[in-house]
Formats: sequence, structure tokens, C-alpha cells
Amino acid sequence: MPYKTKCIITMNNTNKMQRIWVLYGLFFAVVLFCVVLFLGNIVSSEEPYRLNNLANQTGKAGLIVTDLHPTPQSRKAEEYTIDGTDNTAFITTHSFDAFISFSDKHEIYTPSIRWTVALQIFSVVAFACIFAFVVILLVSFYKAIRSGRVFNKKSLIWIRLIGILMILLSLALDTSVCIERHTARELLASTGLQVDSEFTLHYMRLLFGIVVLFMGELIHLGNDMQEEQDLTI
Amino acid sequence: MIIVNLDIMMAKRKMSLTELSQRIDITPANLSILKTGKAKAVRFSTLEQICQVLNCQPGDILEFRPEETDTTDETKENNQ
Repeated sequence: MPYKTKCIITMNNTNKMQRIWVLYGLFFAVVLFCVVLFLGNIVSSEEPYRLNNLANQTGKAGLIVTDLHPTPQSRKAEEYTIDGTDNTAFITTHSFDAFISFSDKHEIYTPSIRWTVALQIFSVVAFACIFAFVVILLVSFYKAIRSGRVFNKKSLIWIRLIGILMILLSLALDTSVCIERHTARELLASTGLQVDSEFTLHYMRLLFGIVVLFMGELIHLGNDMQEEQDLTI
Repeated sequence: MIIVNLDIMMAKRKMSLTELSQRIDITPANLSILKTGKAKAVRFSTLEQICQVLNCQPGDILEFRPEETDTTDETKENNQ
């Protein structure tokens, strides 16, 4: 092979590796930022964890249900005047959070709540697995690119696992939320509050899992093409 | 299926795998893949170099042989 051609190939690989390094850097920077933000929210006990603080203060066991749909009374838009201007803001609450306390903590663990807890545990484990698999996949991709064999069966396995876990995670989370709201609806029925407990599917999470599976199939095709190319003399 | 008779031509010309690979600038491993019939495809440029070095025709190296299932089907059709 002529020396000139070799130089061009080396330069192209260097540029590709630089781009890949930038993407790796961005990925881990975002992950680090999210971790710091999450830990900061826990430490500062901000608004999202107010109900947890309430549970701790009352000392009672309870069920925290978030993002319940509003009652007819709260649908009414309340009028506020913006300071310093003649403008008016109409504010309508669309959801509320509820903390339902139980006199005996054993009362919480109804069969439906047990299912919710199981699904939420599965969701946490699935999320951790997805994150771990993504890191493994990134390392595998890096090694594959360095060796010149971009498509390999190991990457395919990790991608398929990630796609399947994304789909299961989405279904598990939505199902647990539906069961939680249904339980809250039954508990709050006597209070006159109307709780919407319809099953709501988060399409974007599901779609992302399907897209990842589709990318896996593309890698499978690429692997087949690469093997065929390798066996072309 | 296509049968590669490279080993036969190499024996006729009394040439080893290593020598042939050096002459046509292909690694011995790849040439071995071709010789053992594991290759999926052959480039015309490679075939041209092999024929030039071994002083033969492509038909001397490549042979078409019908698969066994095809022959049994043909036999059944002939009997009917």
C-alpha cells in the first residue's frame, strides 16, 4: 500500500477519535451534572421532597401520590395582578400531590400497593441496569472503533438489552403510577376529591426503546455486511 | 455452489501458498480462506492476479457444482 494512502487513513481515524472523545466528554459531563443536581436536591430538601418532610414530621406511615388531576373547584382560573404592570395573570392548577397517612403502617401494604412497590423496585433496577449497559456499550464502542471492527455481536447484545429494558421500564412506571392513582382514588372517594386514574402511557419513553431496538437491528445488518466484506478476497 | 480449485492449480504449478500470497500481495490467511472455500466473494482484481501468476483461466480455478437438493429434485422430475 502506498505511504500516502496510509497517512490519509491515519488522519481520518484521528479526526474520528477526536469527535468520539468530545461525545464521550459531553455524556459524562451531563451525567455528572445530573448526579450533582440530584444530590443537591436531596440535601437542600427542596419542594419536590416536601411531602417526604411532611411524612417525617407527622411520624406516620403514608402513601405519597403525586401529579393527581384537579378537582372541579381547582379548575377555576384565579386572577392575579402582576406587580408593576397593568397585566393580569390567570392561574389554574392542573394537578396536586397528596399525602395519605395511615394510623397503622401495615394498612398501607394492600395487594395493589405491593404491586406498585414491586414495579417501582423493578423500575429502579432497570434504570440502573440501563445506565450500566450504556457505559459498557460506550466502552465497547470505543474499543471497537480503535480495533477497526465497528460492528460486533457484543455491542448488539447490549443495545438490544437497553431497548428491551427501556420498553419494560416505561410500561412498569406507567402501570405503577396507574395503580397508585387508582388506590388514591379509592381512598379519597369519601372526601369528594375526583382523582383521574386512567392509564397514561408515556409515548416518548416507549418510542425511545423502540428506536434503540431499531438501531440494534441496523448494527446487526452492519455486522453481517462487515463479515461479508472480511470474507471478500 | 462454487468450488474453488486453487489448491489443484497450485499443485500443478508447484507453487506454495506463501509464494503465491507474496506474488499477488494477499496475506496467506486470506488466501487460505479462499482456498478452503470459506470466502463469500472474490474481487475481479484478485482473480486476475491469481490467473496471471498461475498462468490459467478463471474456469480452472472456479467450478460450479449443483447442490445435492437441486440434483434430487431434478432426478424426481426426470422420473416423473
